[in-house]
Amino acid sequence: MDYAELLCLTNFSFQRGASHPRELVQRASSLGYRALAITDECSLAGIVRAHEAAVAVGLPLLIGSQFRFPQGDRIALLAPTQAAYTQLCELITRARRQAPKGTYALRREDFAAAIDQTLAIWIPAAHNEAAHNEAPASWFAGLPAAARYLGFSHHLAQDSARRLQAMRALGRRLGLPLVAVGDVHYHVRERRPLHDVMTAIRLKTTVAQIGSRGFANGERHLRPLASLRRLYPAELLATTLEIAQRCEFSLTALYYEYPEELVPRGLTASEHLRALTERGMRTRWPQGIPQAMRSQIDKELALIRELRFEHYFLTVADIVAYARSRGILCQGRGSAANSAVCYVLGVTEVDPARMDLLLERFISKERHEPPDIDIDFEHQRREEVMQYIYNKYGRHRAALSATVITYRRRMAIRDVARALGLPLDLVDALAKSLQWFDGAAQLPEQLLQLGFDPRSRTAALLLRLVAQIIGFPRHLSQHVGGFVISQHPLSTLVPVENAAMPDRTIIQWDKDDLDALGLLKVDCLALGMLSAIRRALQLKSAFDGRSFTLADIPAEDPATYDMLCRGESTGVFQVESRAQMTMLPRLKPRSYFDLVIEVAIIRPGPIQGGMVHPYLRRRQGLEAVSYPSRELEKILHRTCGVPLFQEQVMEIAMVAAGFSAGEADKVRRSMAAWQRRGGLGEYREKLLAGMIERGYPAAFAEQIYQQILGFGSYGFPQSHSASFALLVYSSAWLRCHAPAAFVAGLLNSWPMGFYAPAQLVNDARRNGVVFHPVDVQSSEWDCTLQAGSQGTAQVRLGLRMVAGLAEAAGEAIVKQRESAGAYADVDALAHRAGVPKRVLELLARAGALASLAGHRRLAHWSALGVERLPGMLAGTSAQESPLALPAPTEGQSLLADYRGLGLTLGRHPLALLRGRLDRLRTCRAADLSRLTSGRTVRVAGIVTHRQRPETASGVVFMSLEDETGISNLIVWPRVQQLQRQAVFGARMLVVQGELQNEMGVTHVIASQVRDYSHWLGRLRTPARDFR
Amino acid sequence: MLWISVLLPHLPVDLREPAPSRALAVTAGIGPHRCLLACNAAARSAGMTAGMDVPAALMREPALELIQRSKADERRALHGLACWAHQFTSDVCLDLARWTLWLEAGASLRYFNGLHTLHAQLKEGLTRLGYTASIGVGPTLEAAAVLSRHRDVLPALNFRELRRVLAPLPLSSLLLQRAVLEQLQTSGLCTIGDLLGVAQASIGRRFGVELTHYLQRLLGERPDPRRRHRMPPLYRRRLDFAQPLEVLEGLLFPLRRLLQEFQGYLRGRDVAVQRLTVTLQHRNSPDTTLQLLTSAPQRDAQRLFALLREKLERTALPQAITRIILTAQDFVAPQIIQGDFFDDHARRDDSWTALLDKLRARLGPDAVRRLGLRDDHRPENAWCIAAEDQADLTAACNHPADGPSAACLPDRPLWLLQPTPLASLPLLLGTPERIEAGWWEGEDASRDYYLARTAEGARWWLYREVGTKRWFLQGLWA
Repeated sequence: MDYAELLCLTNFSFQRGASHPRELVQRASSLGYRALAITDECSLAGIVRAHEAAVAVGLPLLIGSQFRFPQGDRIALLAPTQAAYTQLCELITRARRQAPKGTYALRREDFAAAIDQTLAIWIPAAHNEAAHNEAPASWFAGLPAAARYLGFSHHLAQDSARRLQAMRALGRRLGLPLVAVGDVHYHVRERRPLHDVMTAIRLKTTVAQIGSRGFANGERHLRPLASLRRLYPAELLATTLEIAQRCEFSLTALYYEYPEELVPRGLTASEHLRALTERGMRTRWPQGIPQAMRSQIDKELALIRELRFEHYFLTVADIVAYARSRGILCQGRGSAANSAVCYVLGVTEVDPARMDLLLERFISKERHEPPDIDIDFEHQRREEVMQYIYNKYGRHRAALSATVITYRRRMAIRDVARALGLPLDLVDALAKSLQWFDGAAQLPEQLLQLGFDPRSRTAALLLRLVAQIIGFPRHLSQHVGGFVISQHPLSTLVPVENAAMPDRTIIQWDKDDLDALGLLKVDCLALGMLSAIRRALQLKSAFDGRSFTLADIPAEDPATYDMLCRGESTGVFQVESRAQMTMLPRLKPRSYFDLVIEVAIIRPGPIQGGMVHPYLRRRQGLEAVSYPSRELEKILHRTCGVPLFQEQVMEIAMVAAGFSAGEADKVRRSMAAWQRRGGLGEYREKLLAGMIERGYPAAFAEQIYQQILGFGSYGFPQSHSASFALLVYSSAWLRCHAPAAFVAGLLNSWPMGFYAPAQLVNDARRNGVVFHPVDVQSSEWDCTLQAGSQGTAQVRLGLRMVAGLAEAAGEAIVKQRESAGAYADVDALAHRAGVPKRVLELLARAGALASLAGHRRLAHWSALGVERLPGMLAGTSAQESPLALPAPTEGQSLLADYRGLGLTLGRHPLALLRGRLDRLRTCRAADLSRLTSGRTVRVAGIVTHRQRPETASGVVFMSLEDETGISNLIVWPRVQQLQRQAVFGARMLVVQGELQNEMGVTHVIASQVRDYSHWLGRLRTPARDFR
Repeated sequence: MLWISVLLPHLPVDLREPAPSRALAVTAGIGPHRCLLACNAAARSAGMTAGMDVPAALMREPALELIQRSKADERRALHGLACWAHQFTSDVCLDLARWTLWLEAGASLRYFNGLHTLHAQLKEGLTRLGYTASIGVGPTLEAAAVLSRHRDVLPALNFRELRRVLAPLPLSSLLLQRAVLEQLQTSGLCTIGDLLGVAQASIGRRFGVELTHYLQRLLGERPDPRRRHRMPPLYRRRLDFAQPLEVLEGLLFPLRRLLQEFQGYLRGRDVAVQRLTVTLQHRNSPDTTLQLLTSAPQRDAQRLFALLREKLERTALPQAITRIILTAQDFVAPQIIQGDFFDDHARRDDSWTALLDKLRARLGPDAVRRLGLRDDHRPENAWCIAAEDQADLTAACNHPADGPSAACLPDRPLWLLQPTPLASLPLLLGTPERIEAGWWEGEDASRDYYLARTAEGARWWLYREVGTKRWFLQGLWA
């Protein structure tokens, strides 16, 4: 007797299911089940993953969901047809939308409304006596479903036999057939402990205290057919097959239409896209369209028409046109974005003539799936674009895709340890003591350090369960900007639920799910650098008195490249990180395409594939450029014969290993998702065999495979680099030729990028930019430019720099000053601009009242003395005799600067300590480049960055700042272990080590790290820790 | 008036039994806000400071022993000290929140041969009691308190000296709210002298009259009425141990401390005692009571200690000691108090609880037990000896509707046995019930339970271990 499981939860029923969808599907298939229904609780979030797994193993997958009533009774609905599926989506949407995020609520009426296409199963609560079931069950019997059943599950409970009799009687009375359901919560018996842990997490208790709120045994797994035959009467098993046979709907049949309204009446989408393209070509090439471009565009349009992607391109063009009309800087990137069509539509500025990118390479004909375009917007104005999309298509047709938040190590430890009943102190200490990068291997050691034997039973359980739960979905969150837009209401396609932000809705699928089903998605992302560039351009325009836009930046400016070659790139997009800074002098970019490489090279792909050093050696002429074969020369000639881009690797797979375009594309998609589905092994075999067969060395093939793995953890194709490189160039040009406007633009867009304001300001000052302090008498809210004595642009810090000051308060001060003149004193400021005492204190602390009240202490004392007198008495508070407060010392001012502004325009903190540092015989950062490589040096500085790239085998990179610049440290794991506290906790360090000085790149290889934070006293210095 | 202020900066740890070798700290707050309130010398030398948060402290010193703060213990300790201090003066004030005692010394100076001797005697007495104290002397209470925060500052004997002594001290020595202190420091005022140089109107305008009033009390420009500590007519002092004392030696220090405090009390009242009761309490045994009747009135701590020690050594202690209570009521002159102070509780109903109480009183608390339910699938873990305060049998099972509730507990035999291996099987009835639980305790039970009937007609409850397939008898049905 065969069996189909009709009631099964995955771990997308958060804190209830204890197996991944694919585990369940694979297990059901290997046990010989005829079909498996996934019926997560009021959710279809895991269904696409189950679908993919089911297609792979050839198991029929039934789609459904289950709903729980307060008394514990449940209804499971299965969708036999697309119409039923739509009803299911709408029911889930209703249940989710009328309840707070993460929960659902359904009334009985909601079922009565529209479920007439679905198959319904009634599962009475386990603990209810048959008599209690009569009333709700007879309500169920009256529901207008296509078919109704009573679900009976046998879990070896004491009353199972009695229950079967009672349900049989109930079924006879109500005329409902009985069907066997497994009520599966995990795929194998061994998951029982993990399920208990999840129950404890859900109930906020410990596993020992769950008791009767949990299951009495581990029978709720996918049991072998032989066991089921022993437990269930044959007719109950037979009914499962009947039901399974009625279900013919599959997600592959999902029918999706692009929104129609972008096409004017009387035109087809294709005609409209052609018209827009023609118009765009005339704008791009007013002197006449180059023949090569015209034929390229014709080819692309033909391909787009063939694959029916016109609506997708029109949608993207429309969003970009809206942003342009509102003066919001934006830029598209991604495979299709760098097509000639996107260039003429204005989606991107990457001139296809400068790149050899072919659209068809990225829109594969073999897969019917939309091309991928990401659009970056200024980070503080993206919301306007999102509101535009919601308004244009309506909330029922546009929604954000979901992001599945999964258990990471720290949260896993916290939750599992709590569930095991470990003392809260220990749980906290354990979770906190782990650095962001500590691997699972460190856990036993950490336990030991906290006085907890890692070999003890509890520790062993903890380690095992943590390893199991990592990667489990925890909840749905909204994707950063992936919009799904549809012609018909989205809720007919996929359930929609509430997001954490008010008025935001998300669909229950994430971007990989959408990819798998081929749904249209436009990523609207926020990019801080675009804000900074727009602001810098505006400041420059205003200062020069004439408009200056991105288009006015001259191409291929030698001075800009000279600057980058020196490794001076603080604040420049993408290449400001410390790894990039040390790469620039080696790679010596001299052209736009060099920048494309620069952006793509410091990525896991090229690093893991071991491609960085070969490329550098060849570029520097230390190694001859050669090609593995003549075919590969075509692919690799622009990168000295070394594959660096994802696209090149894909092409190699096709050319050198005989993959078809569709197969190569599958590899690309598996790369992005190999953590989700696990395993690229099948491709490895084929790749290696294919390449060796065609005469390539095995080592080269292995390198290519490693590179594929590396791209998987952070795919970064040339098509994205190309767009990013434009911004690298623009921001570098601004830094080189308009440094004041550039740094002001960055400060006004902060938080963004890699550096704190203090470091941006210090760097600009080292480059000769003059700064003026925050002053209520002359500062705007933003940082502004003012003319210096020689007419050069200087920066006036804005009120936004004052720590804790709200924008509204700052604007009020500026507005009142502009409309009614300068402030006479602190009292006048308080009364005219309505500034409360607390805000005055912030201003005083930041030194912004100096022009009104003298030094900081006097200003603060005056601010405290402001009185709010009512009505007529306002502004008449008694005069006080002036207080003689001593001016703060330089050190005290510095302290106050950092507290109130986060930066100082006075001397650098290290300059004040220089006398003491000289006695320790430390060098200045600026001296390092003049010293010979290999000697032992001692450097001191404030820790500004700590970084531990996953690709650097445990090395920590640190940056120390002193009054002359930055010194770069390399700290090997051995030193980290010995001086962990200093390496990860200190704000100021004195470090001894060996100096490495090569090609303009200086490093100190730390051998001794000493924490000197106490020398800084209460100075708050911001350090930023990165992965 | 001349006030001596006694600040006890480590009161919460000092009031515990002394254990100089292991690091000990008292904590306050709960969860993530839990932090160290006070540390003993060993902990301080390991780098622990008050205010440190608990995980940070445990990171540095995993062996650190933590005790949760007990305000009641602090109150009892400070009251005990106040009683003791009455031997120096009749004017004693205390502030529980500030861990501070004040003694008015003006009247007693001559009796103690001047301030220096008084100071020395006070200090020595406190050390012998096991307290770290820091002492300040000034013409007002608040001034003495400020000076007590500084080790090397001379006493201020009059108001003229007071201003001079206070002027160079940092503002942080004053009793200021944290925010006010920060405001003053931000304005560049660092010392008490700086603050006293500012016009009071300017201060009031910025920080309110609370601060000006405080400064006036500090300088004696405003009266500072306080409630004085009164000596109780009956003496009762209780001391709780965080860790029950296992050995007699551990009891000696606390006992000596109690007797020394008591001696101070006796001296302060100028009386002696003839009858003294020491009650030792245990967690699960009846109290051990030691009655000390001296032939002659006594008030010497050493003598009392020796007598009690002797008595203790002849007493068999049933269990570790959790609490010690010293009571005395029969004092010789000036007056004698009679009547049973402890016996006028309201009479209880002669009901079930009264019966239980009587049984407990007669047989001891351990002899009377009540059964309770525990929520666990394993039958042997599904019951327990109920805690004293557990209200009724079903309380443990009242869960929300998420799972089975108490109303529908599964059928279980009333008579449970220790699982006994079975050699031969009786007749099995019906289908098995599978129970699996307990993996978190190391022993993961996985059993199939059956109802069975023996040849004699008895009904047994058996199970078969799923893994080993061995059979056990665990219950008998009525």
